Amino acid sequence: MSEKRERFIRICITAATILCVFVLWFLATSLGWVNTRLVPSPGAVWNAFIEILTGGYKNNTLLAHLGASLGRLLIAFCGATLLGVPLGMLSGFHPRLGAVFEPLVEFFRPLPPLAYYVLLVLWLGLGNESKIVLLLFACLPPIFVACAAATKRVPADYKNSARALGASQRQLFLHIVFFYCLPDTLTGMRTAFGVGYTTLVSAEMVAALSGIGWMVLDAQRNMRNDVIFVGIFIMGLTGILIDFLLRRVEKRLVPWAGKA
Amino acid sequence: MEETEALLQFDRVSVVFGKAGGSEGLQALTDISINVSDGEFVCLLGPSGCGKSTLLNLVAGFLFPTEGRVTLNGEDVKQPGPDRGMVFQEPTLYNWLNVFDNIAFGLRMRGVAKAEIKERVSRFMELTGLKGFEQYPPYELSGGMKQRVALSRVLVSDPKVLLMDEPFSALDPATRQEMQNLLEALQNRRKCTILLVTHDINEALYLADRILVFSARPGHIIDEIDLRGISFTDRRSEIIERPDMTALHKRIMDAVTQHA
Repeated sequence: MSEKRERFIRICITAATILCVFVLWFLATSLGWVNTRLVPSPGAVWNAFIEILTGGYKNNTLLAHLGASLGRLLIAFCGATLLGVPLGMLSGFHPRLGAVFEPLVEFFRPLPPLAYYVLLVLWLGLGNESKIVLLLFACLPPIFVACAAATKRVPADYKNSARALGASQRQLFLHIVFFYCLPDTLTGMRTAFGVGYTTLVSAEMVAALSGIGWMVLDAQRNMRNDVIFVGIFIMGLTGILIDFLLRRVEKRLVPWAGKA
Repeated sequence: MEETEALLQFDRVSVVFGKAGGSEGLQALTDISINVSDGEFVCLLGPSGCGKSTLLNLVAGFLFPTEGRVTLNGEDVKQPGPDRGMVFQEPTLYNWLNVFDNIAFGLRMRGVAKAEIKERVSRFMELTGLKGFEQYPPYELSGGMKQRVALSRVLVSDPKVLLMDEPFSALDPATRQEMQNLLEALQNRRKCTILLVTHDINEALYLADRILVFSARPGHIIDEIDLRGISFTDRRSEIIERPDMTALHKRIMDAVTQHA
């Protein structure tokens, strides 16, 4: 009962915080505290949103921009998962395999994507490939690291119990280690999606004609600050929505997470 | 020396951990010789960290003696196998499988026919009082029920030797007693050779045919008590009441404290 109440109170606080930000923004622009050419008013941003929603932005509808970005991200994310999960888990399971892949990933992980993006464009061309590979490189390390670390943390008793029951090394990996690591793997995937999302704007910097990141960059070049705001809002909200959906998936797939 | 009828033999076994190059290493067990005959219930008693678990791991085939030999039916233990079942202090249940599939795990890994799996698992669920819990996920069970699943999971493979590493020490007293009764009932039905590690003297007196008392590290046997010649009518209550039993309790207590 009181826990429910506490939850309700916290939701109210969050709602009030968001409301305050909007009120401050509204007051700042309408009372002339800031230059509205630099900080567009909520009304101007709303109008820009309606304008883009109905008329599109530079030959593409808003949904097409969003779809282009999410499409790239989704392909990259799936690729990173298909590569990162088996590589990470095998690297954790077989330390000698880990000796091959871990240093490579550790090297790649802290690199800012823009540092090597131009190379990818030179190698893979101006099309979607270079963008997808950039996003894939951004998504891969979090998944790999989460999987490798989780695999190393599987308690010896778990592995021994399965071995004593007659499981081969292969069965141990597929039936015990994989599932034991699934909760951490999904957390890693969620982190990866977040990292990929933040890389989206970088990925659409060169030779793109669509995408929500490109829309923001193009608006920067044209001093359309209202459009920048629209783009940022859309990216923020879809990011939250996707994370929410991934959390739901997580709950469905690994209901045992965090339970002994 | 007519010792050949022993099912399980430790012949001058020592275990040293982490002995590399010039370093001394950690001596876990020194010069252990034990003969365990078929169907015998042996309890290993001693302070924490005295190498009792190491001894079980040797029988299970999770690790190997630095010196000496461990033989089962006259053959060296070379790897884990379903003829030696292990129950750990933590139940190490597979949360991604329901209770039925947990118990069936070993049989499935070894490719036993479906109908036979169903028959054997159902029989053991009946015996261990788990009937009706087939579809439950393990994480929704109480500690005692979890340990029942862990026990069934091992016994369903019909092991020659049952290894138990403080299996009831994490349970509350009432549940612990319940589990001890269950173990005793199972043992009366079908003689299995059991090695049980415990630091509960009454548990050892209640369950064991023979008690081996270990010193602190490096573990070696300091006392041996054979209960097979003693007849009981109601063993549990007699352990507390009979003078010879209280004397044994004191003897074990003194041995453990003197060598701690």
